[in-house]
Amino acid sequence: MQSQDSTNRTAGAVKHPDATEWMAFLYGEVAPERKRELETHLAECGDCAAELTNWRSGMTALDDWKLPVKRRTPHRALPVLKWAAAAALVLGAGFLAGRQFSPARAELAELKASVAQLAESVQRERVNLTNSVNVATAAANAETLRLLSGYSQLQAGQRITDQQAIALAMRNFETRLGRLRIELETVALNTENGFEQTRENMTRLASFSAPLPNETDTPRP
Amino acid sequence: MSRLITSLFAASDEQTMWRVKTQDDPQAFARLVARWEGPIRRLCARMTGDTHRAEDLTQTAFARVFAARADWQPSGKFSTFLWRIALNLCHDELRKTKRRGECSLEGLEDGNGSAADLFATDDLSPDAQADVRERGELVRRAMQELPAHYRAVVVLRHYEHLKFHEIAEVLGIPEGTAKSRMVEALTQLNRLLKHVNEDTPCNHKIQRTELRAL
Repeated sequence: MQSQDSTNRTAGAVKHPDATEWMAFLYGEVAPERKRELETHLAECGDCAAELTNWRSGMTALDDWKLPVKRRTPHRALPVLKWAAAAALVLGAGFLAGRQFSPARAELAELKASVAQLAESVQRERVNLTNSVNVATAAANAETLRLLSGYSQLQAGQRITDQQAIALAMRNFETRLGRLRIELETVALNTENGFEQTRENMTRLASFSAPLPNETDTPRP
Repeated sequence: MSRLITSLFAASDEQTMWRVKTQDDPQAFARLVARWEGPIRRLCARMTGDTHRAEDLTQTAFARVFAARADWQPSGKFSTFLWRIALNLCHDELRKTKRRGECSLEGLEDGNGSAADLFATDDLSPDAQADVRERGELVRRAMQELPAHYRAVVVLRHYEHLKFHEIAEVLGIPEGTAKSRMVEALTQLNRLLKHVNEDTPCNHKIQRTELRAL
């Protein structure tokens, strides 16, 4: 395969660019910096230059195949043309009717009237279109606003509920704290009473046992 | 009104296709057709080598696009979607033709007469025009001899100016593969153009035209 050959070719220390890279080069798809490098290589490498000449001649040959030129020019997507066609129809009809039934002046007047009417209808259509666009935009805006306000209301409601829940929890907590404090105080009071009693007992015990050392000091007869 | 029209025309293919997809908007679809029928017709003509068949294929391609509008994903490019549909149609058509063993009658049927005014060579003298047509005809023949998957790359890159990475996306192949197919296509094309007189099923016609040209 040619492409594989060109992938693996090397001349001395120089690595030849890949054939696929030359394709990108030929179709202007390489970065400017790399392009300069490739051009430098090309100036020095006869093998690559020969290959490129070959590919270029293929590309030139491709340019020789021209397709038939399409003769009709389709503009069917243009709504303007539809209006123009409608206008032409109305005008033509008006003109014919005028010619059939009235003298030239009346004809002219009628023509003018129909043109005016047509202009008016075009104008009306344009206004309608603008209006409908405006209405649609306004509706979209209103809808967005409504959604946004709904969302923010929802958010606000949520916040209030949260706050209430927190307040309730705080109140509960405080009540429990109060109760705890009272219990603690009771315990403390009890403890203090206990201490008091103990001290009293100890004092009493001390005073009770005070004569004892004397008794032991005195030698027994 | 004109501002409205330009703003409508400035809409991207993807926006327009979105309208087609979500609203079945016939006007939007007509805009897409107007914008893309030229490129698609050219693609089909180059792929099949036959401008008449290309007309039918183009119609079918757009019908398929409309039928497949629900499948179109706005994350991808519309053009990729469209090229793919048209290329698949071309491949189907080529398979059918190959089974029937037909040769395209394009160009040669018309001879040198009525086809002359069809070709875009107005700025040349009659002799030069004839020469260009002759060479173009040889290239058309050679292109039809290429494997269709090479031809697709050539058409998209050389004639429709897609970048290799875009071609890779359309064909669902790596970019390197797209480039190596181009290498192979150009190499084979040169070989075919050198040996244009060798025997192929349709070649008696080429030889006849060549004789006529002498």
